[in-house]
Amino acid sequence: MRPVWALVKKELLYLRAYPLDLVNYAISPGLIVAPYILFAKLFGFDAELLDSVAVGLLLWYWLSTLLGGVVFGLEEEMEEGVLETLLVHPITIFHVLLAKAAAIALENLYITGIIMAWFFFFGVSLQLPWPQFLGILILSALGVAGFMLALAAVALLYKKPFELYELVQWGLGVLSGVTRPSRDLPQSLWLISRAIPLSYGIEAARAAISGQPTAGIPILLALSFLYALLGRGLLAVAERRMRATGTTGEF
Amino acid sequence: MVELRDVAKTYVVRERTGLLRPSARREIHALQGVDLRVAPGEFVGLLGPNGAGKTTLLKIVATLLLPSRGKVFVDGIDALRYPGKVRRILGVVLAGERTLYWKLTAMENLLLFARLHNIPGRKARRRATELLELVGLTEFTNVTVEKFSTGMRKRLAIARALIHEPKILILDEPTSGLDPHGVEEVWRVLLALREKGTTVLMATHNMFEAERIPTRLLIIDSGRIVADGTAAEIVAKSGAKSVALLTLDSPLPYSVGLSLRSNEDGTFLVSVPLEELPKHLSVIQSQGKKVQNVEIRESRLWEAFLRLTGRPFDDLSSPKEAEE
Repeated sequence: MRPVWALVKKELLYLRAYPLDLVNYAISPGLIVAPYILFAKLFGFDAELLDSVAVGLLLWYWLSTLLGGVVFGLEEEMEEGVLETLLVHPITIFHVLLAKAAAIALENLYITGIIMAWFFFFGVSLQLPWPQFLGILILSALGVAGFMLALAAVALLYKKPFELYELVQWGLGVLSGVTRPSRDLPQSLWLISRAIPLSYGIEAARAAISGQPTAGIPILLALSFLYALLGRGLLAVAERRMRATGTTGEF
Repeated sequence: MVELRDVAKTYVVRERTGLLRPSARREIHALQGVDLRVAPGEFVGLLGPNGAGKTTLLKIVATLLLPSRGKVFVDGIDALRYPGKVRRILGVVLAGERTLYWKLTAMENLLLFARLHNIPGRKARRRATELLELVGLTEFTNVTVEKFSTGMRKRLAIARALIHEPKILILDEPTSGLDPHGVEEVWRVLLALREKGTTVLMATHNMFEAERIPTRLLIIDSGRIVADGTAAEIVAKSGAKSVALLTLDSPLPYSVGLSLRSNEDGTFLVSVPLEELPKHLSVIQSQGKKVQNVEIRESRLWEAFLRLTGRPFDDLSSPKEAEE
């Protein structure tokens, strides 16, 4: 684990060089969360519904930050030319991604604090069962890991995966029922939402705040495992193709 | 220590010929059946012009690139089957400047890469301190790499590659793009490594560097090793001699039998064997041409390359140019 922690530390040291990132992290969640909350308040939704929306937003924001941060982090390593140097050390791209995910998880702790402050500012009092919620969050993160590995593979092979990331990020948001339950979606979209681990995570979190049983967890676990396998396989293919074509130093 | 058996690498390049036309497929044979053995303690230089296959060869040994054919063993380990094991015993400095984290200090960079090799904190710090001294960067320990000159970055990259005391060091053109002072500083480090008996495989396209630094030299051209030995042995085997480069104010007639190269400033360059210089000078003067400059190239490898490959080395850097 020493190599992974060393890379995590490097990520945090880089924050020292870009202090404005921390300001951005503080402001952007508010800009993303605010419209939803304001609409909910304008239309007089009750506190339970507000909590429900807030939970969806929180999970989605966390996980899309993780997804984007890891993939763009990898792209940055490629652009700076350091990825190739990392690969002559006894680590793999998987280690690099793991370190980036861990560093972003730490950044997310900070971002969560800021989001909570924004919620407080908008008068949303979250009555979350935190231990249960954090458990669901970790499981949902595992579910997103497969997508993360697959996107990293695309970044390695085709570079610049921004458009694809946007699609995945907003697709995950809409289909997993961030602002409203996915059962309200048209049937075809609802069927797609059943293949997204985050849908089960958000449903489980909502069930947890309303004191109902969190039934979707086994499916979330099974899907997470499946996507992780698929993502790992794609990443292995990408790494091998990169070594065969000699593009480890390209971006 | 390092062994390559019949290693070949072919790149497939897709060339775009238009927006709607299908791209054309072209094969580039970067390496064509290379056999090589590097013994422990040898400092091997790989000399060749751009595109000769030097970087491809080094990247295959460094496990960054898979060959199209052949076997690679590093310290007896099959590098194609066990790249992870090979990376533990290799130190690699790739070409280019961006091989370090610029926002981190020299010490932070070294500690980071030490930890990638699982070296514990205290030992890593001690080793990093020693290496910073070796490469002459002690006073820049806590300065971020973005403030370093290109030469300082190259030296730090060498320190980075040595952090885990590798059995073999791979260097890809460690002095390319450096000013003369930077070249001297890197050479000082390379000579110290040679003295210590470090096993090194280094690519270069600098003739003077190739003559001065390695204990053994390989000349590579179009993906093939065309000569192997010490610089003196290669020159002797090829029958190459020192040359004089003459700059003329106007071209010579074909009848003189000397091939000319025109310079951008309107002058003409002609290369003649050094021992034939007086004879050629008198011929040139008899033609009424003015010799503006005479430059003696003691780096006879340039001539050896010409004799071995039948074409001139595309890098015309002379000892004088390298030192200036």
